[in-house]
Amino acid sequence: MQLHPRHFGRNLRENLVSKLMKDVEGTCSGRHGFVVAITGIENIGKGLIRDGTGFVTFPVKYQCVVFRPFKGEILEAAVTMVNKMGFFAEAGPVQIFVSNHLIPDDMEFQSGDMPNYTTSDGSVKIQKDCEVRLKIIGTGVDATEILCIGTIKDDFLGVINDPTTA
Amino acid sequence: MINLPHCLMLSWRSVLLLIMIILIVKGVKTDKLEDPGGLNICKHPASFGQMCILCGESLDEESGVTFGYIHKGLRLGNDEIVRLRSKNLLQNKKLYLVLDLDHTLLNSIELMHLTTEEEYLKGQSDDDISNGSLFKLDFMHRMTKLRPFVRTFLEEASKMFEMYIYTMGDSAYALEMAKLLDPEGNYFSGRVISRDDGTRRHEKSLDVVLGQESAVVILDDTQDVWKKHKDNLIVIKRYHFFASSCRQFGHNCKSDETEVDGVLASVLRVVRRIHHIMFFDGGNLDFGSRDVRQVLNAVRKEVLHGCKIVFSRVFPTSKFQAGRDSSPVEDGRAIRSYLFKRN
Repeated sequence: MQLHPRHFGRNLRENLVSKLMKDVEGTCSGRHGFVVAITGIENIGKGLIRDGTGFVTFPVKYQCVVFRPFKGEILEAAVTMVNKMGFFAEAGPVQIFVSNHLIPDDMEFQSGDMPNYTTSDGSVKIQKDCEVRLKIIGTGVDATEILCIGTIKDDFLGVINDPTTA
Repeated sequence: MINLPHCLMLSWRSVLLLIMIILIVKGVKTDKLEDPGGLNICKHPASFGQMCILCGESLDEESGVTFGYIHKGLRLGNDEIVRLRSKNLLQNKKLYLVLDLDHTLLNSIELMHLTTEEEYLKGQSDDDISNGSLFKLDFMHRMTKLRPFVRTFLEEASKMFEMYIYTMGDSAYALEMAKLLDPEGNYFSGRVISRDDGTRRHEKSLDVVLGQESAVVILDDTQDVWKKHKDNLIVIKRYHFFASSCRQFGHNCKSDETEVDGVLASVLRVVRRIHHIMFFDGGNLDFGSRDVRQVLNAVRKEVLHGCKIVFSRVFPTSKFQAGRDSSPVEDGRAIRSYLFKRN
C-alpha cells in the first residue's frame, strides 16, 4: 500500500487502513476473486521510502471476505435480461450468461414487452427479476468484474421463485 | 512337470501383458477414430467474456462479430448469427425496423450552438419524460427536440416491428436518447446500436442486427451511410428544429412540422402498408420466401400509379401533340427521337 507523506503523523495507521479499504474492496483478481469486505488487518510491515518521490510503501497483511465462483458450482442468481440468445443473470458482483443452448429444449423464447422463456404448458417462466438456480461451467475475470457461463440444463436447476405467481 | 507350471506362469504374465498392451493400443486407436465424429468437440458458437458459452473453455480467437450493445463482453460466431437470424419473428407477424436518431426521430444541438433568439427554449424544456418533446440535458450540454408524432409512431410501429436504434453518435448519447423516446424500455431495450458497435467507420450495416436482411426496413435521413443496404432503406425528410441545425444543411426554417400531416405520419402509413402486404396480401407465397425489399419496391412503384406526368414547357408542343390516340409509349419514343436529333 503506497501512502503520500501528507498522511503521516498520528493517524498514519488509520489512513493506511482506510486507503486500503477504498482501493481494495470492490476489486477482483483471477486468483482470489472479488473482494467483498476487509475483515481485519493482520500485520503492517515497515514502510519503505521510494527513491525520488517520497511516497512510502507498506506491506499490509489483511484478511477479507472474497467471492469467487468455481466451475461446477451451483449458484442462485437473479435474471437481469432475457433475449433470444439466452438470459443474463447476476449473483452479487458476478455476471452470468446462460445461452439458450443450455436451456432445456422444452422452453421456448417468447418476445414481447417482457421477453421470457416458457415451457409449452406455461407452467415455468424465466423472465426478468426471477430467481434461477444455475450451474457454472466457466469463469473469466475482466478488469473489475467476473463473468461466468452457466447452464440450467441439468436436474434440479431452473426457476426457484417466480415474482409474478408469488 | 514342476518346471512347466513355472514356465506357464511366466508366459501367462507375458500373455496378460501382451493382451493389456493390445487393449490399450486399441483403446487409443478407437479414441482417435471417434474424435472426428465430433461427439465431444465444442464448436464454440459464441463467447462471453472470452469464454465459450457452451463449454466454458476460454477462447482468444477473433472471429465473429462483437455484440457489445446487447451486453458487454458478448461476441457471436458467424454460424450462431445465422442460426439466430433464422429464428425469425415472422411467426408472430413482426418485421424489423432500424431507426436513425438525428434528423429522423429527433434533432439535437449543443447548448453553445443555440442562437440568441433560441435562448428562451432553455426555460421551456419539459421535465416529464413520458410526454414532453423538448429536453435539456445539462450533463451532455445538449438540447433535444423530438419530432412531432414520434411517440404515436413508435407505439404503432412496435405492434408491427421489432425496433432497433442505429445512430452514428456514441453509445452514451444513444442510450440517453433511447431513454427519452422509450422511458419504459418497451421498444428498444437491448437494441440500441451506436457507432461504437458498428464494424466499419462512417458506415452502417445490418451485420450487427439479429434479423434476416429480407425482413429489415431501415428509416434514415441519409442514404450514403447505408452503402450495402440501400434496398432496405426508406429515406426520410430531414427534421430540423434548431436554427443552426437547419443552416448546417443550407435551409431556413420557420416553423415546426405538424403532427397530423407530418413526415412521420406518412412514413407510418407506408410501413403499415409494407407490413400489410408482407403478411396479409398475396396468399400464395409462404412467409419464408417473402422479401421486404421486393415489397418496398412494389410500394414505391405504386406511388405514381394512375398519375399522368406532364412535361409542361419542357418540350415544344409544335413538335409533338399528345393526342388521345397516341399512347404514352409512342409519345415517349417521339420525345426520345427528338432529344437525340437535337444532340
